[in-house]
Amino acid sequence: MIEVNNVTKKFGDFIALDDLNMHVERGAIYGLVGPNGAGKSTIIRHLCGVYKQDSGSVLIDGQPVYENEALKSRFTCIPDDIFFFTQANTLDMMKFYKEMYPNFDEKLFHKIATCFPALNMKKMVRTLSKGMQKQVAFMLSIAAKPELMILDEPVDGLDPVMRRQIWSLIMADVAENGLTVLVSSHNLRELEDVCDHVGIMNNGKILLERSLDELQTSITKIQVAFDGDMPALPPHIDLLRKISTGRVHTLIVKGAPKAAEQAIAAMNPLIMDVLPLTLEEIFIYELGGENYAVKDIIF
Amino acid sequence: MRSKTSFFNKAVFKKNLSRTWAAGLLYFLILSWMLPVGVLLDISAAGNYTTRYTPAMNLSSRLSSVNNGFYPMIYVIILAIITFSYLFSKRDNYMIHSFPVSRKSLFFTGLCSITIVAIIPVILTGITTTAVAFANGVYDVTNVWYWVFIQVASTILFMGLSLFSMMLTGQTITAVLFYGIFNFLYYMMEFSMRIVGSSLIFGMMNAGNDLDITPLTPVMYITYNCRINFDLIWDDKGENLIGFTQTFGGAKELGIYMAVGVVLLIVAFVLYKFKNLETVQDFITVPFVKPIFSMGLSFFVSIVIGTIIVSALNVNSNFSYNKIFALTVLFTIISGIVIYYITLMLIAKTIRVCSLKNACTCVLYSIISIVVLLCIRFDVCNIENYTPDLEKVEWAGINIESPMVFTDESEIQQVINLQKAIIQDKREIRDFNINDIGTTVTFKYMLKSGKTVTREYYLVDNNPEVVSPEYYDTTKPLLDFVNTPERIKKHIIGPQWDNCTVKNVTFYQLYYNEEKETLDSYENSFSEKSKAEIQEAYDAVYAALLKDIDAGVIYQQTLSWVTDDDHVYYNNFDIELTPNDSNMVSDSDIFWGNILYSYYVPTNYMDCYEALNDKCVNTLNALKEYEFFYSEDQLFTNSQAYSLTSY
Repeated sequence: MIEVNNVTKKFGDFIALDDLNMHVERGAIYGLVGPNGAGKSTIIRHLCGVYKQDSGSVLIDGQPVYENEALKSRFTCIPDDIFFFTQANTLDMMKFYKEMYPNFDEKLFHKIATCFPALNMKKMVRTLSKGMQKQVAFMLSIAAKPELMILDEPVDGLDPVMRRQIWSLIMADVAENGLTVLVSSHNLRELEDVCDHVGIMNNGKILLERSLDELQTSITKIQVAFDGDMPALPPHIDLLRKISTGRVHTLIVKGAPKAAEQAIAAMNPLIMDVLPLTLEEIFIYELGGENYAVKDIIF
Repeated sequence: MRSKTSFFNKAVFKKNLSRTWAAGLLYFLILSWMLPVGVLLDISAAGNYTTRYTPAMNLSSRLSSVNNGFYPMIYVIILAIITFSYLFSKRDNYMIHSFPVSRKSLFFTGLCSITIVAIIPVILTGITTTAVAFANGVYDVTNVWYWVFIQVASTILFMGLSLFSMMLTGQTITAVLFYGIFNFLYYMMEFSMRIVGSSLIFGMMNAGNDLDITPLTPVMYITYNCRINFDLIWDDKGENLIGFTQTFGGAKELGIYMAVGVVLLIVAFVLYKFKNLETVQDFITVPFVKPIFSMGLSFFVSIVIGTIIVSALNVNSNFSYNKIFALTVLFTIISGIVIYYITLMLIAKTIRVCSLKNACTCVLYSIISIVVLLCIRFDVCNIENYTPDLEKVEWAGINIESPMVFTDESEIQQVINLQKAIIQDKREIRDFNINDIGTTVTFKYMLKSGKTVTREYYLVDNNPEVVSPEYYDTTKPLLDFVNTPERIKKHIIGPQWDNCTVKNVTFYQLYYNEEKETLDSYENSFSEKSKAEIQEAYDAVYAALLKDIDAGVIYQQTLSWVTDDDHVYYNNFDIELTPNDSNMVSDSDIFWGNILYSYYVPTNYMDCYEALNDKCVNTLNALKEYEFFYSEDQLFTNSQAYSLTSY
């Protein structure tokens, strides 16, 4: 559904996006992760039609996004810093969205509103708390019945219950209507729960883009202990990182997990455990090669 | 399916109106107060004044006074800022552009809402004023709708200017600043150049005071020139109001303003369409405008600063022209470099602007500044050496102590020749300092094209014992020209000096009051004399004064501001004359341009107000003979008066 091909964007001398490629399938929940300054918000602004790329193409359903009213009426964006009109209350905003988005469902809006009983619909939105403003933004976005929802740090500022509520609403929309979601977040634990695809960004590029399952099985954490020193690993094993504590060694191995497991088992370790990696660990280890690894701090 | 090429978005339009309707209502109330309500109040109060206006006069008078380009100028920028405020906030900007609405829709919908809120109050005011006029029996309301036309045309121009300004920057305050600058850009540029000219260009010493309002300063031009001109018509005695005239000024210019407004709107749209939204909150968002702004602002501000600094230094020093020029260049370049780097800091939003590239552009800018100043120095535009051709001149004037205007060809040619002589001696004259004893001599020409050419020179006293022979030879013919008795009578007393009635003669007798240590003055009232006897006395004094003028002892103009206090009398002397032809126009009114005003009325009097001196034997004898004073003891020279009164 989303195709970003060789997009470059410069802000003066600074290269914000560097020949970036990204692809999101229809119906996917795509998590965009990366360190601060990686370019996540910049690519999201391109996808929302705010920025125009210096080169490359930003397409949704094969059409360029920039200045494409018809296309943009089929998706909604929730930026990290949400905009509401001065003096407007939730109902005023609802009327605005209703006229902006042809598929806007007012009944659905009021139905969703029942999920947020604490929200005063007649109070000026700008006077609401940040969390409540996010709730309003989600209510409006979901009621617009988009085919694609682009979210930049969507649940920042929401309490855990409200986060769950929001995500369950989105997941329901994904399940029922095949909604595609592109979400950027620093909260990798949360993304791990909801995303089926992940793209890791750094320095204006996508370093890695694949399904979460594939990602989690392509990197393996193996804990081993040997009687004596650890023998050298076979050359075909792509070792990302090795941490040794006494005779226990933790190996982060990239590539086919079964082959690595078999090769290490053949080295006759005293004990060997194969552990799953969290998204957060994958993020840290993948970016290790990009000079972004968490450094060991020595006091 | 939504059209890809829609120009209008209903949701955005409603949103815009919801934020601006209150301003529209307020504007309508203000206009209503000034026009229909104002007209009604004028009509109801008309009977209270001596000058009784008809309802038609009240309407026309009101419409001519409620015409101020500043109202639409301020109102439109307020509407534009409210409507397009999202352009100046990152959050608002990103969100509004992520909605399914194109920049084209946003721009034209915004424009549409501004137009409606700006123009509807004007049209409603026009309608209500028309209704008020009809209700009071005034059925010719062309003037009302011409006023509406002025407001609409101004609004279109200011919309173009405001949106153009807003697209150049990412900051609200800067947008307003640019809007103000564009409205007065030409005026400020001309003022800067005139300030420099007044210091560096020979003959342009008063250039800074002589700014015209041109169509390139729209808000002022609309206020003063695009208007309903209302004039009253009085009877021959000037006592009874018999009617009024109204003319509609500036229709052609308003048409041009509307066209310019439309062009600016198109340019603003193009700038918006290609605007990089990451430039929100940047000082200038359009790359090619940045060097123009930096260099333009630096140049015009620095030349003013350079000139002011040198003028201040020159107050207590007698700098030669060459020294003034060199110092002006120095201070202009120094202040220019400082301002240039300040503008770079504003644009880059950082104080770290020292780079080789910026240094190179600064050097380039400095070279351009020096070249411009050298062009002024060497009179590339032929300003210093210019004198008009005789056949192009309608009248020529000289003002030393009193303005004199000449329409005769031979006299005009003489004036031109006198100015040429001064220009020939400019190397010497331009080094004169304002602290030297001298005076300002003005040459003024009204060309047949309607333009005026003015040159002013500071000339020092031409005492042959002090000045150079060349200077004496230059200035003596000038004084000889203005001091001939016939020219004094015709151009200083007035063109009807020999066709007038002496209305009054004033002469103060002076007595020294030892007790109070003051000079007390006393004027003979002639209460014991008949009217004929008084008139005989007046006529005799005037005739004696003319004799003294013929003798060349009074009204003699010099190039010195120092009065010969030992020989000039302190006693006040004045003769009032009434011309027999009431349509007399004085040289002073022509020279100062008073006759160009639509409300100009001939003065109907001439005045001989001049201090007598001890050589005015004829006048003094006549005054004594006809008992304006009785003894020489009542005459005090300035020196005597000053010493007695401790001045």
